[in-house]
Amino acid sequence: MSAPGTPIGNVIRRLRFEHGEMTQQALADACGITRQTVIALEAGKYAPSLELAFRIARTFGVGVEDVFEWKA
Amino acid sequence: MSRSLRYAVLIPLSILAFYVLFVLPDVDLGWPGGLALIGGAWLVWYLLWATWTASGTSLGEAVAAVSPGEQRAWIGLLFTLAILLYFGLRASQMVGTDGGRAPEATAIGRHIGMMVVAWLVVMQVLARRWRDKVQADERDRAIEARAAGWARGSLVVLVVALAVLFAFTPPDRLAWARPMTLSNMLMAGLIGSCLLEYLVTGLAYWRDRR
Repeated sequence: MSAPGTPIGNVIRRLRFEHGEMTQQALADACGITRQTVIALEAGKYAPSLELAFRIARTFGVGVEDVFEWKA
Repeated sequence: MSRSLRYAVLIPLSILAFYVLFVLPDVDLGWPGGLALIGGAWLVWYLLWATWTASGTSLGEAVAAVSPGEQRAWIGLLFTLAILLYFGLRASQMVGTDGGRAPEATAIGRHIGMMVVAWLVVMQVLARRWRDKVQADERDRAIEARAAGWARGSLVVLVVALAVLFAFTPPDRLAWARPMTLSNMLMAGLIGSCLLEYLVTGLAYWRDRR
């Protein structure tokens, strides 16, 4: 569900740069989502499903808790 | 052809197309004529849109940053708005003197049908443009589901309002409710709910991009 200011934070932008400056489009293609969803995730405008969270974490080769955190 | 020359040709043509389609009284041109008229008009509008969004312009970059789902929503909103406007302007001509279907109704319905066909063609062209990309994901589906909820809600309100109106209004005050008028009201409600769905979808995407 899309939300303006989700309580779930993430470090996707940092992980992309640590993985050879991966582009948003490359991450989107790897996870089967649109680039605009990556943009919304990085901006904290969208909280992903558990499945997508796992797919993103798998793409970076880390655990889900290394990508996402509960901010509240 | 240079961009400014394209604008000089396409802008007057697009205004003329709008005038012929929506303002001038209907002239029955038959299926081939009607199809050529609607197809020509939409071709001009499409070429104008394609010129605006051509790469290298700030608008083109802005459109490229918009997801396929959002582009579908705004295009759907434009087409639905055009159909609703056309329907609203011509609805009274569809009602015959006896309250039934007027002869003009067929031509008006055909024009609306052609607009829907043109819309489908534009969506197919865009789908081919995005064929190598992911066109929808879980965020798109969540937004679509929320917008569909709004559309369903608006239809529920319309149906309940009509039910209350007809149940509690004395029959002598319902002389206006002739078959074709009711048919037009229901169709306008349906088009309106589609308009609301596209509007909510577009706004949800826009809010995520802000």
